[in-house]
Amino acid sequence: MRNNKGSILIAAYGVLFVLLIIGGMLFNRTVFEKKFYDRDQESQMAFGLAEAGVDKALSAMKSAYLSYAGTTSPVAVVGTGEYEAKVSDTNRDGSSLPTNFRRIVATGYIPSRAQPRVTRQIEAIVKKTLPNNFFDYALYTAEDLRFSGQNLAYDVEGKAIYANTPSGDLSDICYDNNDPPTPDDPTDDVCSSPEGSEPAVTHDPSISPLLRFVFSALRAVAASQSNPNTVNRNNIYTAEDLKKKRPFPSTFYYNENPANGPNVVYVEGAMALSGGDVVGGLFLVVGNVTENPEVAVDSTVGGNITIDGAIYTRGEFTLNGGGGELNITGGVWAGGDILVDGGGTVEYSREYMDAIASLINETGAAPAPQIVSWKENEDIEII
Amino acid sequence: MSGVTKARALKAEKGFSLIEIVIVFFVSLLLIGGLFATLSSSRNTWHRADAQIMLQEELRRGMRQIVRDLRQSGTSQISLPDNGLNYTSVSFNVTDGVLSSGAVDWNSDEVFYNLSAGQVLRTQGADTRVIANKVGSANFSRSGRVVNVYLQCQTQTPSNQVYSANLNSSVVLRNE
Repeated sequence: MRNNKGSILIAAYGVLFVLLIIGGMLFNRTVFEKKFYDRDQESQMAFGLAEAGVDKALSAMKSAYLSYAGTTSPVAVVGTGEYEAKVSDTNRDGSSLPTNFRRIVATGYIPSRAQPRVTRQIEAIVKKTLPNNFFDYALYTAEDLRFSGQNLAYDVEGKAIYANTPSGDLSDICYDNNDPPTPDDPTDDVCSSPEGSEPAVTHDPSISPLLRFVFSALRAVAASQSNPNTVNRNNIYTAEDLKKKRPFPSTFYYNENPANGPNVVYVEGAMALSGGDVVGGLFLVVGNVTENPEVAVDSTVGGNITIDGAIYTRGEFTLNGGGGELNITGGVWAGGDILVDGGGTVEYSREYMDAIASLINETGAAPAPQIVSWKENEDIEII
Repeated sequence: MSGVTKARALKAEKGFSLIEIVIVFFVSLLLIGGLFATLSSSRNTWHRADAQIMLQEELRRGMRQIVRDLRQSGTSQISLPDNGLNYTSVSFNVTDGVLSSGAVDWNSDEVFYNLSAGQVLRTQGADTRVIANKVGSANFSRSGRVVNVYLQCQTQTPSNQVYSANLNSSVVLRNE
């Protein structure tokens, strides 16, 4: 009997032993997973700190673009870690960057630079330069120039430039180079085809990304302009205004006076125009920049519309023809593709472009420092 | 001890009755059953926890690499159309800085992610690597500059129970 009681105790010990092994393995696995998770979290925090370093440098470079060299010592962020940013005018290999380009190397450290457990590093190349001939084109896209639909259903009177690839029939893009007509060329228009002596369409990858204006400066102008088509309202259009189709200004010049410069129409959302509109001004379709600068918005035009002015959109510009007349007198800048589909006319206006260039110059609205290339360094460089 | 004494001693020894043996048998049966139930439950708990942890690790490891790569691409350099629809693969270029002309220097070796035989593969140039195993589905979609990545992993335990986990991440393309 005594021996039997002893065997139960041994069996109980055996079971307990097995349970302990299972529990121990589970605990071990859980601890490992916790470490893995913590490491992941800290890596995310270090990345966030590195991004803070880029933002800090960009902010400082707004007022001291060429002289700002970065943080003098690591900046501590309570509860997370430290970051630092170094700014130079050279590449990693020591070669010089193009004129007016700067390189930001921002590093996030957890918990500190002195004793880093996790380090993440971002390298951003920034430019602050107004591209040559920025105001010289009817169509200006930092991505693709796409023409589709019936041949010659559209008419572009002015030059076009794109950064990536063209598609479709670009033969109808012509412009007047202001040379006197000759017997061989009675109209003296320069066309992309046939046999144009000068290119009406230019490929230039360096115009990507699209020049970024100092939007706050242009928004201030829009805020100061009263809109005669809407009582007691200025030229800032919210998403709600667009939904309710609040009328846009109908002339290019503010109060129809060239001395006032152009209407600046600041569109905080995607702009869609349709049906019988006659609108004017410099249209800035930049989305909710102050709330979410990452939003890309598009500008879509369709129906019978006359746009007396220019459109700047960070997104795509789509000109849908249909059966109506579509006239844009001025020009279009697009951060995304420009798609011209169906019947329509885009006519470049030197007068309007000069007025816009003056406005930009007077308000200091361009160029703003903007990131051209953003990458994360996997082989961390401490400089 | 004499033979007579030995016989008396044996006679004094009492054996177990049938009822006692039956009771001991059932009690032992209950105890052993309970022990096995406990062990089996513990084993299942272990397998479940192990599977979940393993799936989470796979998901995190895969997602971390995808997100890191995608951030370095741009809207003009990615195969995903801006339509919010799901695709099972994605290809894109990442930046290497800028050229002397000021144009962005896009790495000519495209990065390509796809799902093949339960593995998410990352291919760049001639280099192909497995970045996540036991993947049931991988979806990529784009709305403007935001790319959504969805990964779902699943595994089967030795007791044929299927466990799955998924991870969703939204990535902002840092370049244009």
